[in-house]
Amino acid sequence: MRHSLHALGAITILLSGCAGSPRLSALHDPLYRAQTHTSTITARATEAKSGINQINITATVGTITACGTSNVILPSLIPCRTGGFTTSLTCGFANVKTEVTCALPLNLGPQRIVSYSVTTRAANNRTATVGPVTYAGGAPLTTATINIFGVTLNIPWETARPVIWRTDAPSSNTPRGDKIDWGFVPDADMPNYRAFTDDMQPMVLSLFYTDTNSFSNWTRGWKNLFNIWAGPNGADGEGCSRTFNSPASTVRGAFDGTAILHRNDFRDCASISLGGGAGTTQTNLGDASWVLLHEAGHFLFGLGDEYVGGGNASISNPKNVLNSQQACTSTSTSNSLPTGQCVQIGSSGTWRNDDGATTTMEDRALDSDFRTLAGRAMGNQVSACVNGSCY
Amino acid sequence: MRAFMLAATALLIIPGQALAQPATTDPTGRPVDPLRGAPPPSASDGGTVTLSKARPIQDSDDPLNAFVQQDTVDGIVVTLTIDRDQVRLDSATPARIPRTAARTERDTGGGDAVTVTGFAGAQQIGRAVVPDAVVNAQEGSGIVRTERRQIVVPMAVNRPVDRIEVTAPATNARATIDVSAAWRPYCDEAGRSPWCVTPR
Repeated sequence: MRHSLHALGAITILLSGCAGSPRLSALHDPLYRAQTHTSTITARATEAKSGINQINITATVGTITACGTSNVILPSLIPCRTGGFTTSLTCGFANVKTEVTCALPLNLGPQRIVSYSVTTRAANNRTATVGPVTYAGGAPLTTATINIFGVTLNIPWETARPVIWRTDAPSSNTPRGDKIDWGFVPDADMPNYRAFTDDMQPMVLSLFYTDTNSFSNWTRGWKNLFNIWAGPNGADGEGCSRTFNSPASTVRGAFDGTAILHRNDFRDCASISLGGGAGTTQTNLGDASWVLLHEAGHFLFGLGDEYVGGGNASISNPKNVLNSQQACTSTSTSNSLPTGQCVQIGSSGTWRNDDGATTTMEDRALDSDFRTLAGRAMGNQVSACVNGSCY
Repeated sequence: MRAFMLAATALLIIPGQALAQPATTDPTGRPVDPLRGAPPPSASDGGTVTLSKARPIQDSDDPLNAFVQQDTVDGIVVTLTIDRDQVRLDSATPARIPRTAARTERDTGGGDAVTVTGFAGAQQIGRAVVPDAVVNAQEGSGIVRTERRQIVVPMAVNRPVDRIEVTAPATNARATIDVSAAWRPYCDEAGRSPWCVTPR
């Protein structure tokens, strides 16, 4: 089955499911483009009983910098903004009880960075809020200007390029390890950077917003745990060989895991690591989003392949692939899973807990999901993030 | 002081769409106005749209800048190629790095790890432990050990690092590498910079 490769505009961050509370989602489209373009922030709201009265989009637009201020001397891997200005769009509705939309198009020139927040109010005066979310657009920053005691330094510099960056207001007690910073970079086989961003868009949209298959349940449900970033050219993946030339290698230091997107056909490969790793994903496959999630299972979450002939090793918590039947039995017991489901993966000598349903680390199927021990590991990942430290 | 060119603009309230506002410029004079040339804002279902006058924000008041200031620390990003027991420095770049990426101890889940320790003279001033990407899963092929691999290590430091010690037990790699050259751009141009290495 082929996923839709069309760029879709907006969508689905459900903030409130309570009766009478408005449901609100907002997203920008395209998600990221390193060229001058029109970017549209679209908000959608629904409140079926009393109807939607108003949507407000507040956007701050400015120029990307590497944060060189009097207090910040070294250039930053993640960007700041200079020369920002804020504009606000209010859409008024006659208490409409079906979904309403409010759209703010922005013309983004070179080195732009945008932050937006959205609020909606229903006729019953209940409200919902999304954001702030920050993203970049236009030609990227390539130089950092640093001022040191009156001396100005201009040095070649690239920042990570925010695609969906959740930049809520800072507070001294806000845990900052509560997000998974997932980076995407183009492989050397991409025709150009635009091809990379065009390929990334449907994969990210599908995985986090628009897909309706069960394989994306986890990412759609926990999308707010993720920041999505793009990195500059310089990566080259081929099989399990991965190299990053500077500045791509340096920018990678801002990511918890990096997906190298490629078009040429080769067997995808990923490090089995809990953050800090990388893997490849072929973008021109009909199930590219599924492949992306499966590979992320390896390099973001430490999961092993559960199919015969795969990478049957794991460092997840708990491990989804065990080295013995005894280990599978004890791990299953401690995770309240039936020990009778422990099966050997072929004749590999490694074991897994198999409930018979399609599962993402075994079955290349859109109706798969993270199940049994992999499901427990993903649940623990959520808990770790919610508690303020994903890694 | 920024030279914003904000024209006084009345609120625009029309059904379904609004007019674009006048241009503004950033401090370098480049046009910033993202509404110019863009399609007009719109609302569905016959809704009205009201576009407020653009309001400049001082950089110091910009919430994004405050966020980044709080979310990053001074450090260095070291990129290494580890080939069996050999370690090569690909790059060493001083930078503000995300606070979370710079924490000393990552939970590597019992997997292989690379440890980098930074020194200024004889004093240890930084340490970072990151996953070692030596064990890989290749689809349809199984486990692949990449004994030649590239590792990126963000490490928090509050002053210049002279050298780093690298250990990667997965392939018995160990090395001491001089990284003092990473700070030269700051010293060559601005010798009073706190990031200028003082000769010892």
